[in-house]
Amino acid sequence: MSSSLQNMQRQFLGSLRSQNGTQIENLLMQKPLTQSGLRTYIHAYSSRLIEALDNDHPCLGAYLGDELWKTMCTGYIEKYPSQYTSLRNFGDLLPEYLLHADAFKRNPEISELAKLERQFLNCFDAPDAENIEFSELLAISEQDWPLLRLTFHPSLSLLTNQYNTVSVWQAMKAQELSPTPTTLDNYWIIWRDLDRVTNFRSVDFEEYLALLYFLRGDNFSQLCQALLETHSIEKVPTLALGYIKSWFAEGWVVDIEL
Amino acid sequence: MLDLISKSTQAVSEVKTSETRPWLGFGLGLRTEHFDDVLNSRPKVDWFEVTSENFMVQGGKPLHYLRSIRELYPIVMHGVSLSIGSTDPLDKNYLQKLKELAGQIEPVWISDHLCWTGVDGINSHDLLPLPYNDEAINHVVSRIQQVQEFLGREILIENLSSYVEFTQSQMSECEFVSQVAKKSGCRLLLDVNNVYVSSRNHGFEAMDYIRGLPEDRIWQIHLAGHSDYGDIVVDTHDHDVPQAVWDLYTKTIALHGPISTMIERDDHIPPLVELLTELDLARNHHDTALFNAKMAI
Repeated sequence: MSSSLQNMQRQFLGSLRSQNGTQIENLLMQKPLTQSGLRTYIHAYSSRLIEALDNDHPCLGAYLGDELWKTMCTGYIEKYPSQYTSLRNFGDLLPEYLLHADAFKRNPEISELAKLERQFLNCFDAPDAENIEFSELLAISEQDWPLLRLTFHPSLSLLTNQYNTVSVWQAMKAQELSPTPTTLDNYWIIWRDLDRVTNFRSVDFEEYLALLYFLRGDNFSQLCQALLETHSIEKVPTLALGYIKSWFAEGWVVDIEL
Repeated sequence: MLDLISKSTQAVSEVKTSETRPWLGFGLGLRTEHFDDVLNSRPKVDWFEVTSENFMVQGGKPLHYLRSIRELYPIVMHGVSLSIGSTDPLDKNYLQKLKELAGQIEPVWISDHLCWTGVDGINSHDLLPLPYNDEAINHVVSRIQQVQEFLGREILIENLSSYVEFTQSQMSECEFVSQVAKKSGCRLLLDVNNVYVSSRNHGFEAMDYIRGLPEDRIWQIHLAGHSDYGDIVVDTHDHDVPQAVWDLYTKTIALHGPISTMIERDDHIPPLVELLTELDLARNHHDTALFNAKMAI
């Protein structure tokens, strides 16, 4: 459909995106109010989107400082105008943008910091689910254990960092000086606890992999097989069970499948 | 619809309904800052209005609070992303989520704005004005009817505050709003502050506007504060309701009778107790207006 209404909307939105109202002056009644009115819309467009990024990425903002933050917001708004009904999602592509934008691509730790903050947001409003107790696992016959699969709370996600990003985030959150970014492979679990508060903790590579196995649908037997590559057969059941018991204690497990 | 209203308002003893206009009483916008206060102190508020999009999520704390508060108070859902005036196709995914939230919360009613927010898939997240002409009326009316059919209920449409006027306009804003309501069958959410703001910006008489609206369509009133920059007045929702808006509200009630009223505050949000005091002021203005109107007969 092409109509005068559609043409008007395209031109009007175009002027907001280019932050320049001169191209739509012919659409508007020329009154004393018109210029300040147009400026109000143009200003509201950018300030609303910047405010959304500001709300969602306070630590990234503190890390970048005012000038780089402004550069990032301007560039991101231009490259990825919102295609969402909720401002909550506007920054979804920010980590991707920071990985490739000229001003930021030489510092991949910045993208990693943005990704961490977005993962917190995703955790915050992920679906609800009731956790189950370890006693429900113990009620299952031992002969069925090899086939058992675990379902985790929908808010739980894994995070792999190549930098000391969590330390940077913590420093920014505490309004302290940032540690120097250093390369460091590290693994994290993010989840929403029983009080609906977002939590995170580090895990070693082995526990990270164990969780990954279950998250991708592997069963207890397959986890034990994987642990056998680095542990003796006597130690594997105790080790695997130890992990699982701690996951139940954290409230991460919401279902058992056989 | 009346069944839903009756079900949603049974927790409030003072609630009355009429065939033409339900009476909810005096409400507040439910804001994150006040979740705990509302649950702990159960304030004297007849109902709460929520921003639909803030709760169109899969789970988490806000939805948990909303469900808890819904057990205590009637809720109405107020959206900002329907974009009823956009020339893009209606967003079915958005409407489905809206319907699902309504299914959970059972709001007394659902409202959004008489505006467009974007085109070609790009959202400005602003409430942008339409030209006031037949093309826009036909376009919006058809879409309101589609939305009402999809949701299985009437919706309320709110008048905007605006800062520009289009050369394509052929009628007054009041005429435009009235025709949209009459032709689509929707109800109106009359934002008295928006009428005031637009009347100052565009130089029309605010009471002429309010007098021209179809009385039976007005189901709710919004009150809010604004920022007066001299050459332009901007709808900022970051101040107390100013005297000029109270005056217009009083005249509106005297003219159109009892209308469920709520106070919107979206920025510089004060403690709940301050908003409760302001809501009492709304009650006083409302009752005084009705009393004076009765005495004048």
